[in-house]
Amino acid sequence: MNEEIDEPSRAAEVFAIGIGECGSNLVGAYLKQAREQRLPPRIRGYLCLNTNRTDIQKLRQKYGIPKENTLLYGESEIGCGGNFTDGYYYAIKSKEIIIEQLKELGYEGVSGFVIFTSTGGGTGCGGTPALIEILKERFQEQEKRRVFTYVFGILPFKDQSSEAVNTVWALSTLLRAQLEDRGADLVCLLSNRAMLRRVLAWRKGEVSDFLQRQLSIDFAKITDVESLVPSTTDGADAVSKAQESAFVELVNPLALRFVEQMLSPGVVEPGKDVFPTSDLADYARKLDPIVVPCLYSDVGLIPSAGNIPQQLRNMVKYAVEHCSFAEVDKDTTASSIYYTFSGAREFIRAEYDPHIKEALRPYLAPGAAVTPCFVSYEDSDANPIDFVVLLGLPKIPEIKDIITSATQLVDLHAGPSPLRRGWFRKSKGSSEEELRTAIQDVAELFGLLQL
Amino acid sequence: MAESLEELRKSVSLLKEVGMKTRNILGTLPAEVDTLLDDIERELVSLEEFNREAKTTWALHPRKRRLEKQIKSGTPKINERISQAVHLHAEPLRLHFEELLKLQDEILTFDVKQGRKLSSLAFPSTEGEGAQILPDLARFVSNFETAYVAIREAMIRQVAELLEQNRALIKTYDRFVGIDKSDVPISAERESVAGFNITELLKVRKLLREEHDYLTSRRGEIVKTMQLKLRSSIESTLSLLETARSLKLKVSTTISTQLKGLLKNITKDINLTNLLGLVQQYDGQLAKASSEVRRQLLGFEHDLNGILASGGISLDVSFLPSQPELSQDDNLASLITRYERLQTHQTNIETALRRETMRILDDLERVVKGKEFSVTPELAQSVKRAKQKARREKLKSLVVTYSEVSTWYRDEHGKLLSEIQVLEDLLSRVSDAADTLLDKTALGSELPPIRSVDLSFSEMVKAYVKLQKYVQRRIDLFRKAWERELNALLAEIQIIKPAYRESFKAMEDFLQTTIAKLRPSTTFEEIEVIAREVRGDALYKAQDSIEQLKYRLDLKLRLTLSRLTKLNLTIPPEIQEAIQELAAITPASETYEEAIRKAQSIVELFELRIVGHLNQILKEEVRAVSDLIAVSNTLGINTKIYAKKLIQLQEKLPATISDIADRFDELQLLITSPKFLSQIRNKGDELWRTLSEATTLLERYGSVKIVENLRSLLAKVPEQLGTDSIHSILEICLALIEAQDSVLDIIRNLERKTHTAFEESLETSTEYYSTIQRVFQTRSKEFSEIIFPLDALEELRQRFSNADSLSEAIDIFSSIRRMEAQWMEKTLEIDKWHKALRVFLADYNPSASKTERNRQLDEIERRIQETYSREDTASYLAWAARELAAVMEKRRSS
Repeated sequence: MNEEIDEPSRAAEVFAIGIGECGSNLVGAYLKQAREQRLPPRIRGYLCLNTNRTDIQKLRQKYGIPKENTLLYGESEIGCGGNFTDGYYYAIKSKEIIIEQLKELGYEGVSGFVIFTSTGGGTGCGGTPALIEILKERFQEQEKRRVFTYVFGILPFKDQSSEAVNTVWALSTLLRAQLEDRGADLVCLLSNRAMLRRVLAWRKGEVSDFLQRQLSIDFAKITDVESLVPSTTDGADAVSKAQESAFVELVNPLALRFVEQMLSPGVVEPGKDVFPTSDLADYARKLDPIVVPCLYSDVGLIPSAGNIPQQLRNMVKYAVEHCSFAEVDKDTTASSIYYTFSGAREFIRAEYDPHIKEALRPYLAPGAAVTPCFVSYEDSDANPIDFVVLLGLPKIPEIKDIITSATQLVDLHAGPSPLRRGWFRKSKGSSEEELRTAIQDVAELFGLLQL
Repeated sequence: MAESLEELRKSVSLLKEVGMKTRNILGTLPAEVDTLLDDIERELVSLEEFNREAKTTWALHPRKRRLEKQIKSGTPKINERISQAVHLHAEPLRLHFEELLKLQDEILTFDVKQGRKLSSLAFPSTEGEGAQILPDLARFVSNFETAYVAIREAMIRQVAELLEQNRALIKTYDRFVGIDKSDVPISAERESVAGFNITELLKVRKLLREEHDYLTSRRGEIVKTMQLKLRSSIESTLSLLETARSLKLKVSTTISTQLKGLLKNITKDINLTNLLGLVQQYDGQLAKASSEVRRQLLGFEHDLNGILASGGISLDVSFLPSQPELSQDDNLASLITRYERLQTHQTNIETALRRETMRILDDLERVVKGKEFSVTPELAQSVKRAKQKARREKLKSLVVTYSEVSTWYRDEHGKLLSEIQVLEDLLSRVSDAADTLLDKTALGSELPPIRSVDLSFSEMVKAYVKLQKYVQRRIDLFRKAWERELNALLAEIQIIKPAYRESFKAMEDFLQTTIAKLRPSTTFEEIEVIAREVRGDALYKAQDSIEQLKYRLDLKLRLTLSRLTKLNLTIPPEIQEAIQELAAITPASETYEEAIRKAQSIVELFELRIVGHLNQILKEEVRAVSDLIAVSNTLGINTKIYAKKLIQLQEKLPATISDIADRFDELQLLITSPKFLSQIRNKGDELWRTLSEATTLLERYGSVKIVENLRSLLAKVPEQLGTDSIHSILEICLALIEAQDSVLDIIRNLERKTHTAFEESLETSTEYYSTIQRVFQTRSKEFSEIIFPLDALEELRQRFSNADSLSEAIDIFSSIRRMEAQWMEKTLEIDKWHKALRVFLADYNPSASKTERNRQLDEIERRIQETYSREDTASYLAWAARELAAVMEKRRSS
């Protein structure tokens, strides 16, 4: 019996890769929270990559990650210092050792890769497109086999202009590569700021002393998250770093938990029904290249109390407006939506689909498609109701801020002075033209051309 | 061949003779001569041995030929060696002989005849073989030796005489002036010239003559010095003789006259010989004087020791001065000094002896005057007289006086010691009597005065007086102690209760009479007699008293026990045992104290172990009946009448053993009342019913062990309630009451545990139980009306905790469990409702103004009401939302 169940689940396994300090921490934080450091089902293994030795050592120490699950590459061992070009080339040049290490960790035969990274850092931002190139080359060109790559990119905080430039470059590079079938199949954007706000909001009514314990801050008093989370790259002091680290601990596990939810429909379990059948490829095919995930866990649905349509409307509204991993506008017009409604059989009913779609309508562009997926379980106690929504190309206020910051920084260093323009090469290993094209790409994609 | 060997033997003998004489002349011979002679002898002996063997060997035997051959070859070798030996003797002889011939003139000055004989000798030829030369040589040697020895002896005589003269001079010179011995070494060091040969003697004679000349040349100088010395010695001796006479030594006057004569003879031109004569005379007179002085000195010593010995005084007694150190030199000066010191010593002895005699007399006088010790009546006069004598007496009569005084002292001292001994014996008797007769008192540890040899007679008398007082004090102490003991014995009798003391009346009288007799007694003998008398009589009297006591008690005991047996009261083994012990006690005792102790133990046994025990049993019986009444009272039975009767019984304390029997009768009547028993049985039935219900409940909660115990108890109830024994009925009722209390505790405990477990299960089964509780606490009335009647559950719990009857507790317990089950079901439902709250609270801002917050909360409530049609769901969520908002607000404000 177990054999039958394990076989298909193994066939659709993925491999998790954390690149750069932020990406590695996302993986590490999840593992630390997960019982016995176990990965979610269907994630066969993981590898944390970095170009900075100190960061790698800190990672191992902090999360108890074994040495074989980490890899230090590149030329300097002190990181890229925000230079995405260095990040890109370090990865390309280290192709063999990366492939070798993945092989050691048993990546052969996986169906896809989930890459966690920050979009604003040097190693992650530059390394992620390179890593996808390497993986596509390895599987699609050498093995002639399609593998899916999902990138979970963490957006920088507000007013971090250098990180904003990197983010814009990374998104542009990943999407342009996609046009040549060498880029990410899906880029999920996550915002630390938003995720922190979610965590705080969810815990408002409950007793949580986490922050109090870590930073002597009572989260009930917090009104502005930004005031709590300072920049990590623009001259932050030790206290600020500790503060940010505490918040990151709080929000980081969310990313991998979301991946767990995404992979869940493909996991065959006794007493579980999935309708319609759905798997990894569906996310890539039915959604726009950039999505914002929303995760509403443990939904409080009370059929016996009456008025189900209203209850479902409340659920959808709460999921989109309060559970998205990056803030979206309330009048967002997503180009595509994919939702998963899972839980005990008595609650998860296909006839709720019209009500859910109706409730999603305010967040959809006209003509945009909604793809549902119902996952029901026999055992009601062990399976709380979860509602997952993936919004394809929604309006993201943070992207607007990022494009503004990036444009300002590029403008600052542009001009006739070759010495001033030297910044592009020195800091980013790039050119003004390349960066302006990237800004143009992202602005166009999110319909922000008027900027 | 044999002849040849014999010749060889002769030659060897001749050679030995030559050797001996040569040695006499020369003194020594070269060492090889002896070795050679030994070899010759050994080889010759060997050949002679071969020769003897050859003679006895058969002529044709090869051995014979071999022996003859060896003899033949050996003979020339010996001859050769003899020749060597002859030459070895001849050569030194010849040289010495020639040397003497050269000294011929000098030799003739000693012995003309022998000198000439020597010069007439001619040394024989030494050419040819030894054997041939040897006879001539032997002859020469013989003549040479004779002359040589005679000459040497004459020379020794003369030289020795010269040496003697020189040595005599040296000695004389040495006595008066001293002489440097290195100037006359031979004369000074040599004592004899024996062993010298002629040559050496000639040399010595020459040297001695030179030294003699030297000594003679110093004679004048020596004579002068000798004159001075002799004169000085004689004058010094004359002076010593004067000193001796001044010391009363008798020295004959002729000596002085002679010495003075000698002085006159020392003239300027006196020669050495005469001078030496004077010296000799002087020495003679000096020896004579010394002899006279020595004789008188020894006589003096002898006399002194004799005087002391006559008085029985040893020379080493401590009061005498020690013997002076006397020089043992025998010269006149030392002897006179020694005599002088002895005289001084005699004076010292006399002084010491007088002092000692006076000391003894003073001591005796003190004792006589002190009159603390009775001495010989004439002693006072004798002492007075002796003192007068002793002051002026010389040694001889002083010794006599001392001897007399010592005797008095010894006699009186002996008397005193005897008196002390008497006192010490008495003291010892007092102590012994105290040890043997006194039981409870020790006489104390005061130490008696010590008899010491260091004390003078008068001090001894004082010690004696102290001892007398001490002994009297001990006797008084003994009397008082004895009186105390008698009083103590009397007191012991008086400890016996008056009720039993009647038997000891005669005994008490006897003791009181004895005490009255004892008080005026002062002598130890009197007291001792009384004490011993009491010890004897008291014992018999005490034994009589015990006999009487035993008889009386036994009678009382028999009567009481027969009554108690009729009441079915079992006499406990302890009492039986005590009765047997009482019977076994016999009056016969070793001592009075033992008899009294026996009497006391009889009373004690009767009082404590028989009467006391019966009283104890009575008390226990009363307490048991009191307990029975108290227990009956706790069962709800009216026991007033019975309690009152019991109090009356308790108040009437039993005075005698027969009173005890009366009380037992009354108690028996009280506990067998039929009305009393019926009331208790009814109560037992009621308890049985309630506990049966409790058993069913406990069984449901799995208290297997308790249920098992309860069932076993309940099974016994019908049978035990059916008996007529109040003990049996009350026992089972009591067990039921006890079980009821325990079961009530168990059920209370069960309720507590079940409640706690329930609360814990609520907390673990639900996620939002704390909020649910807060909502209920804020709106308990509405909550109970709309959501769940939690108020009713609380009220039930309150009633349960106040319930004091088991039946009530059982009822409430079951009701609580039913409501808890319903509440658990409801809580799980509410917990699910809670998940919906997050949606409604998402937009709530706790930091907004109060008005805005209220508006938001109203909006949330409106949305909740709009979403849920069920009143309980909608109401609860609305309240919970407000509760959570309040919490957020509270946290913010804090």
